[in-house]
Amino acid sequence: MDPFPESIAHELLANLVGDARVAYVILDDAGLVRERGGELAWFGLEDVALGEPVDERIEPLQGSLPTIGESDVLPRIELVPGRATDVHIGAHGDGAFLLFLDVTREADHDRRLQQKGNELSLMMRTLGVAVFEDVGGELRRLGLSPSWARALLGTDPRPDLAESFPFLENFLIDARATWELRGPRIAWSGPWMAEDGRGREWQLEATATRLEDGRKILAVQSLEHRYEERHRLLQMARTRSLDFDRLRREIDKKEALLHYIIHDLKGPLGTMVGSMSLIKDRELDPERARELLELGLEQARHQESMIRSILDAFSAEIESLQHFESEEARAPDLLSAVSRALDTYRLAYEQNRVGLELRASPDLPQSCKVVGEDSRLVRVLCNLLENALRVSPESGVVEVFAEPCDAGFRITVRDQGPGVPEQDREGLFARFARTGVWGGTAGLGLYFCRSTVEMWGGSIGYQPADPQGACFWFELPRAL
Amino acid sequence: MIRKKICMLGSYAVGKTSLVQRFVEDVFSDRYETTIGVRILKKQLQVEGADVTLMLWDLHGDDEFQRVRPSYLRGASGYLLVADGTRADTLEKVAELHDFAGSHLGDVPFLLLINKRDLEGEWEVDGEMEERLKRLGWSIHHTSARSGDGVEAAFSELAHRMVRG
Ligand SMILES: Nc1nc2c(ncn2[C@@H]2O[C@H](COP(=O)(O)OP(=O)(O)O)[C@@H](O)[C@H]2O)c(=O)[nH]1
Ligand SMILES: [Mg+2]
Repeated sequence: MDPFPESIAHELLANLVGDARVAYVILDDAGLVRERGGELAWFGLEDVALGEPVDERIEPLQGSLPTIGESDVLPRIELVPGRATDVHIGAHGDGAFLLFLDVTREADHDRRLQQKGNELSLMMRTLGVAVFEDVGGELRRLGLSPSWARALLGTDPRPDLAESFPFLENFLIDARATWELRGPRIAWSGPWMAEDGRGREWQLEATATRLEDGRKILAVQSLEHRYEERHRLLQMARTRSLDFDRLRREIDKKEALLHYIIHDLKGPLGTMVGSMSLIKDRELDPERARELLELGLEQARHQESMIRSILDAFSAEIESLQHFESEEARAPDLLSAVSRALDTYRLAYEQNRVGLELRASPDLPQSCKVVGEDSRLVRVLCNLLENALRVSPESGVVEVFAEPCDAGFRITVRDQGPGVPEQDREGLFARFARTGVWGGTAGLGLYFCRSTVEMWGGSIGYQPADPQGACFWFELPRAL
Repeated sequence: MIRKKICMLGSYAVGKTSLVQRFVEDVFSDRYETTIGVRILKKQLQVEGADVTLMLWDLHGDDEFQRVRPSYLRGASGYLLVADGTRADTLEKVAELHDFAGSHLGDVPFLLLINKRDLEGEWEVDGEMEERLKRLGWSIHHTSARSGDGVEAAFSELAHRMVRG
């Protein structure tokens, strides 16, 4: 088919392409140049001569020209380096024509575009974004892979995203709705975590969108710093709110405790007021008056000991910030503390006709220096001795054992009272434990012991005595 | 191979992440690390003679800072509501999340886990509320992610009910 008469082709083309450069040759049925025109020199074809073949000069044409029957284009070949040329080939009469069009500008433009694409892809990778395009239901990777994608997906250009990320499998349903224009224009997945083979956790978020040209795009991004920032804020907010809750509960408990304490302190006061009123208002024989005074005194002592244990408990927290000794030279001696505690209680035990025995193991060294602080150590022992006295039956015996143990030294206070009932054992050492007589005033005594002993790196516990009674023990590390 | 999806729902810091970690990896940490978004862990189980892979969706806590998205629930065969025994308000949150899950998933198996059983001395949730929920037919487990108490049993009961159901 003749596209147009040669005579006007040149004119026409020159007009159409403006300042672009054009040249042509027309070949006869033997492939020899019959006619030539245009700016052949631009294409390096200035010495193409009439009556000669042309295909030797144009490498891609070599040997094929006579067989070309239909129109064809050789795109973007460089006959002269740096000048891109489209060669249009068409049948003409018995022969053919070759039309040379300079497309250097278009080629440069394309190159720039390509470069931009590469830059964009590089940028995406730097930003940690992996881009996928949905083609017929299959997701294909576009551009370069950021490090998270290489770590989690490998280098497969068509990774099975749904298999690798069950989370994404679910999000793809929302993504498809967006791509099919059934959902919002852009869909965000919200963050999710994925662990790579090396145990590193990545925080990812996906965005699905449909481009204006209809392409279905899924971008998956590693959140890194943004995640960290968000996490820090949220962590802080939630920790604060947990602290606030805890504080509120603490205040509630303290209020309840205050009620208990007042109630407990009021008890002895009633007896004291009663016995004093009797002494004041009535004519009593000296023996009876003495009895009442004894009673009042006993209650006063009881109250005093309660006040002491309240002070102990409340100061324990403050004192926990204060120092204690762990160096041998200045550390307290356990046996000396034990004997002072025993001395403090000996009289009270005698009055109640309860025996009090120290059983020191022969394995104990001369000096038993322990981590701690002397006066508080004595108070811990006093607490245990007071509890033991309170529950002891008349003519019972309380034994205090001292012996070495793995951690250092161990003290056990054993009584012959009823023991701690099973249901009260848990939380026996907790603050405000309301476990009958055992917690001491308002449940603070054993709490004081525990927090003090633990503060020094020791431990404390309870076990039932055989056949009956309670054993409270604590261990303290040896001072070095 | 049967795959079943389970969602962990509850207020923040009740122990959702800890329960999943205890169940899947048998570990526990006292450190609180708040969850943002979704972390999915898998666990293989034998349920009534069949191999089942549980896909455990550990979701972030639902509160004024983050809402649980309905799309996270899609396809779940069951869910665990988690409350913290030491915080009574987390039990109210659970009731709210149960309505939310029910409206998106319909009638699928679920359990209520009241967690932090190891701190029972500090528990705030009262038996009365629990009784009320039990009368509604809720299955309630006391768990401790810290000690591992009741964790395996809870997941396995849910798995059985999902497979049977
Ligand atoms: N004592 C105790 N602490 C727990 C238990 N489960 C979780 N925790 C702690 O509670 C806090 C919140 O746990 P986490 O699993 O992150 O809760 P999530 O926000 O619901 O995922 C962390 O400090 C955990 O160590 C438990 O059974 N007992
Ligand atoms: Mg969590």
